[in-house]
Amino acid sequence: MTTTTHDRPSAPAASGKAVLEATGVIMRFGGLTAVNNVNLRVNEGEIVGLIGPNGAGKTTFFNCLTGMYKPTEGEVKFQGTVLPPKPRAVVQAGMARTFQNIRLFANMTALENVMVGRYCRTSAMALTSIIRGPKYRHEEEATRARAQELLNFVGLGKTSEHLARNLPYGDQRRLEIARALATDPKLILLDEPTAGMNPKETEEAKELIFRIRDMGLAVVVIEHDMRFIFTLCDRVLCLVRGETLIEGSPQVVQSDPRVIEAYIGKPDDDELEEEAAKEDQA
Amino acid sequence: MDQFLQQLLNGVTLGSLYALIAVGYTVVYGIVQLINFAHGEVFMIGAFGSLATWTLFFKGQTGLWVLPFMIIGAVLASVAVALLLERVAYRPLRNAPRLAPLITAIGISVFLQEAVRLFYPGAKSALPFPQIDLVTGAAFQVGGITVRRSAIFVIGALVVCAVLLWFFINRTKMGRGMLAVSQDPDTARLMGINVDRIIAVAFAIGAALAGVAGVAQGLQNSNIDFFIGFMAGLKAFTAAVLGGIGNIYGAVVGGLVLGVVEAMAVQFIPGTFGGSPWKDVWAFVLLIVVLVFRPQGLMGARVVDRA
Repeated sequence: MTTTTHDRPSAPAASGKAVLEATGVIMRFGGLTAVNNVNLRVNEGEIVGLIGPNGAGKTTFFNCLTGMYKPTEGEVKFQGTVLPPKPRAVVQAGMARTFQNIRLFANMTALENVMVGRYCRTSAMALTSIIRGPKYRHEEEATRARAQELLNFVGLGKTSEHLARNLPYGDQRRLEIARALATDPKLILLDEPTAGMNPKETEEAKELIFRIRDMGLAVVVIEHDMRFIFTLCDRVLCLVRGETLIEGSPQVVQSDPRVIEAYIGKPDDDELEEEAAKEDQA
Repeated sequence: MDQFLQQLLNGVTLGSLYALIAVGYTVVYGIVQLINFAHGEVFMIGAFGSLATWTLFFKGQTGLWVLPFMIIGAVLASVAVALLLERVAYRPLRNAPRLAPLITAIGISVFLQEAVRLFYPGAKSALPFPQIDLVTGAAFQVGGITVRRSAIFVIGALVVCAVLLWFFINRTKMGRGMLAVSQDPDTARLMGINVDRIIAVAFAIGAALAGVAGVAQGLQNSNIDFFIGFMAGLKAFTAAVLGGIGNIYGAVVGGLVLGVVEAMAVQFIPGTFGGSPWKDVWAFVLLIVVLVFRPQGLMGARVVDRA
């Protein structure tokens, strides 16, 4: 099963239509420029990888894309419109994400976690949920059924009644993905989905991301595992110190000497950094 | 034995009242980590709301059918005040240091007391609360125990409210949203939950229960004044901490335990330290003892991870 995953062709859904378009995104925190003039285009049915050494601004860039931060300059268009920097509006529009450090609702069951993800797609309000009319009950059942379906999809069908905090690490990551999928996204952003996973789990995660793509979703992945990213993605963007180092197909990025240099560093890198810091202060 | 059962009943009655109010402290704390010290006054407003409803629309009536309207009046008044407080006083301070909303709460508490004292007709002294058939009036005897009619109302109100609340939290979308927000507001927001609305709902739920408690207090004591919220609020807060603040079931358990301990202390502690003048002392001694040996409260602090 796992041998067929490599070099898998793009899903038929890939049509070249942009789902997400970020142009000239700059994010400054006081004097620190965490993201400097980064462009990213994600097409329908595409898997895009985001790599870069620690502190390169990957997660900050992610946060700009998902409306957690409002970029200092530049704009992020989702399906042609600039979304208001409100998480709720972003989710409603069809963008979902997972987190580098898992952020599940620890004391709720797996099923409940996914049901919370359905929140923005159901209409029941406070009053109707107290009165519990037939429409409400119907919706509640549908939510439950859909949540279970998603748990099955990520392979957690049997653990739906377990508390999220009692799940093994790899399962928690998959639960986070199920919860994100519950919002009916068109684009899903995964922040280090395989961090802390063993090779077998990583392979399963890759398989899962392919299946998500095959549902017609666009995927953006942050990852440090190069083998994972280069066999998974259609396109890879490498960030270094907040700036785009290179963007292109996995083959192109993989063979670029600057990428390796950015991760491992040149012999005199420390000194160069110190000089750069001095220049910044001046 | 009769004496013990009698005090148990008295304690449970008193405890039910504490519990109804304590839920308001704990629900709000669970969601926004704010001790709403004005909650006792929300309870007081509930009592006055119910009195006002009776005075305006049903003056002279004592039939049981009036009671639901009085409860609705109480709940409307307390919920309206709580929502207004949340919107005007607490929301602007959502991201301020913890101390700011706390002091604001104390200020609001004084403000509400004075507002009622000055502007509610006749509220400068205690006002008689309407007597309603069946729920007030002559007590009856069961075995050797005297059962006050209002006690049945208070305990019944707690049972009904607790069941409804359990249902709301565990079986509805909104309740699930509340649990999510209490565990991780930022992530909840990213799931499309309107956190502001959830917070408002938390205030409203607490206020609704406090409104019911206000009616109960009126029926029990047969008069109300603008200051009833102070001690009741303090005791209910103690109950919430005792049970484990943030934990709704803890608030109920804490309220009942506190009420029973107070009643027992009055009856069974002999000598200088016994009797009703010392009941508050024993209530707070209990709090201190529990906090020393079980700082998270009887039922555990929040139903929530701090990670």
